[in-house]
Amino acid sequence: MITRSDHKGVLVCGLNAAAQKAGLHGGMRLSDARSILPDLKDSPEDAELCDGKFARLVRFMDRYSPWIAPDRDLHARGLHGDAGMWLEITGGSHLFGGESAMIKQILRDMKNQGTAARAAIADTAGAAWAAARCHPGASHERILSLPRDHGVAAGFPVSCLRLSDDIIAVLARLGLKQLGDITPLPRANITTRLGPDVLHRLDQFYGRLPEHLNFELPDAPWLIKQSFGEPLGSADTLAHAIESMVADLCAKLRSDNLGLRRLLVRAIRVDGQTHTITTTTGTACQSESHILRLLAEKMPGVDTGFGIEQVIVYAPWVEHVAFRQVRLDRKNDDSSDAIALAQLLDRIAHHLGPKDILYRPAHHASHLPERAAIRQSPTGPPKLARLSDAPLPKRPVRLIDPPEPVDVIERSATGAPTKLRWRKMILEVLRADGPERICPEWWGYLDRDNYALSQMTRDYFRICDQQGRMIWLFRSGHAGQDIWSVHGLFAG
Amino acid sequence: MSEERIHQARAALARAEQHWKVQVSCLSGGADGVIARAFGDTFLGDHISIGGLAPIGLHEVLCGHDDCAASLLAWYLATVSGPDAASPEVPKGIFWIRQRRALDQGGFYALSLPMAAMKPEPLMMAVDQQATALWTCEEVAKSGQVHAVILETTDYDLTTARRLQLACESGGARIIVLRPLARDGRIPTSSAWTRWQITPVNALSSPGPSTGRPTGNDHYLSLIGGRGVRPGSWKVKTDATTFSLSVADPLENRLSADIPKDRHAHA
Repeated sequence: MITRSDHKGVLVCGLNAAAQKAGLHGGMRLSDARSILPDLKDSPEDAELCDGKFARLVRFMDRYSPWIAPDRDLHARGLHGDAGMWLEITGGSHLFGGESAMIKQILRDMKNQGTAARAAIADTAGAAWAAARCHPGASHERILSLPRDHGVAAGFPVSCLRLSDDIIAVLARLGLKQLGDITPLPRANITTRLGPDVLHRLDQFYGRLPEHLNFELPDAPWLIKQSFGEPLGSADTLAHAIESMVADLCAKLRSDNLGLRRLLVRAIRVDGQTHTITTTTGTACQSESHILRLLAEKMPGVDTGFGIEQVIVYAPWVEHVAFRQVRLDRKNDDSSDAIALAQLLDRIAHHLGPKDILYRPAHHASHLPERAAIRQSPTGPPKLARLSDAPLPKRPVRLIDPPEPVDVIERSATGAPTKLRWRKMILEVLRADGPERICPEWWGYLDRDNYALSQMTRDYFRICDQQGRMIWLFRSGHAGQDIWSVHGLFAG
Repeated sequence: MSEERIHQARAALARAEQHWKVQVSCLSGGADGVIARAFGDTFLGDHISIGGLAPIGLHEVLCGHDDCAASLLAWYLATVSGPDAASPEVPKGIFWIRQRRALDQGGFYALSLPMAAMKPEPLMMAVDQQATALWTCEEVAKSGQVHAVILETTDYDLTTARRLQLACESGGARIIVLRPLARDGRIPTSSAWTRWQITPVNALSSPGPSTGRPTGNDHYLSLIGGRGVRPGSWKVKTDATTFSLSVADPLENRLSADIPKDRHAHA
């Protein structure tokens, strides 16, 4: 049993079949559940694990339809330990041998994935939701065709209308327990007594009102799917298939003057495992050669296993491509510097490790040296590399960030260091220039008083040691308890 | 048949000789070579004009004492153009690759660059692994999309240096490598076109006015090796505000005794 803790206490949010048979249900308290089943084993809910598992299931089901809409309301409530999704299969069931065979195959695949599932096919999303839970037929015969199966639908409980618990309680008090009890009633009376939700859901159930589902894929996806009668057993044939599909996708994008920013390539094996390659570009890209070069770096990680039976190439993020001059010989000017530089940055970005960074320097209006220099994306909207209205004083060529502590051994009467120890070296200060006082931005510390801000004030000195190095160090902290740190080095 | 082959061989030899002459005219150690051009009359002006520096190729700056001055020199070498080089219509930028912990005096602070150096904005990169730094350097140089690549890295072998040299020739770029000296002061082996070192003048020997502002910008700039290069050394003043160098005192061949005897073998 899975439990979840909230302000009401520890609640049950996931049950196995044995617990359900014993009468436990989602949303009840753990103490109540233990009173029914004292030997109950429970573990706390791992929301991230559940979300990841459900996301994998959604991706897995796209072999049946690209139109998949997770049941977000149910997922949000989540106290009943179940989740759901809709598949838009209009015109596609014959590919799997009919509706009944399709349900069988879906249930078999879900079982292989280790998930207990119920499936139903109906004319509307609301009817499918209800039939999956309340249809009395066998598991592969839950097909609800409303004009024909009106009698079956009339026997569904009112809870299949996805109403709130309060409304269901009111309906139960009134003796309205099934859909067949509600449909003969005058509509005006239902709205007056129970509000608009009941009729709204009822009309959606019977298809009199549309129901908008949030599909995972957009309305006009740039998606190419290819199924193979003979599974692809080698990486070379897979690469060849992806190459042709990417070329087709880029041709479609070019015809609409679009370029992709992100591309998903999903290879589905015969044993149900999927391998997804994601690649992102810095600018809108229409060049299949560039995309294939990016994909080639990740292709060695694809395990074809017993064979790839389906490949999906999908561009979830496309952008309009700015107009470019076309050469007189009718060839696109792909060799222009901007495109070539963007493609170079893409290649580098794909090669970088998790800690590696690629950026353009930019200037931020801050007095603190480490905050004044910020990093901006090399392909993002440009910012000023140097604010022209903020003239900078002399700054070091190399900045040590974070600053390194240094021991000041001797100081002059003016407070400037004359002898110090840094990196186990004794430095004799021949010349010192300063101090240059740098205060933290007061607007960032409105909750602190002047005394607290004074500790963060830095007095910078430029010193020249006996080796001829120009070192930038600063003093901070309380008066009499100075903390000295080296922050950079000058070149002259 | 044999005459035809001889004719072809002579033609190939003539082409090679012509190519060799072009390169030597840029980098020879004679009176018309890089030393005379770079640090001759032009050099004695306000700023260095290294007209002889090969616009394409690998150059090294060895870092021993002052990584800051070495960084400034690397930027200067990366941006300097030959006297005959026509400025491109769209100027290409500089790509700075920093391998973390390769040099121990912090990272390059972009705001120290003068305003003019920010057009076009340089591209910066910080990586952990030397393999990533070298791969990126080779890829960028081969692409021909940047004017020069500055690479901060640890020691590398002769094969790597040759790969970088080939990348330069392939993409028409210039690579400036900031390379640390060995702990024993030995100069590592390389196939770079030119190899430079810049060290600060010991402040004890030239203390300057006791009450004046600190200068700390006196350095010895040494051309310690390369292809067809006669080594030499000059006392220069660095100006970090404008990222420029100017000659204070030409001391040609001053470091000839300081440079290891196997210098020529390495060069």
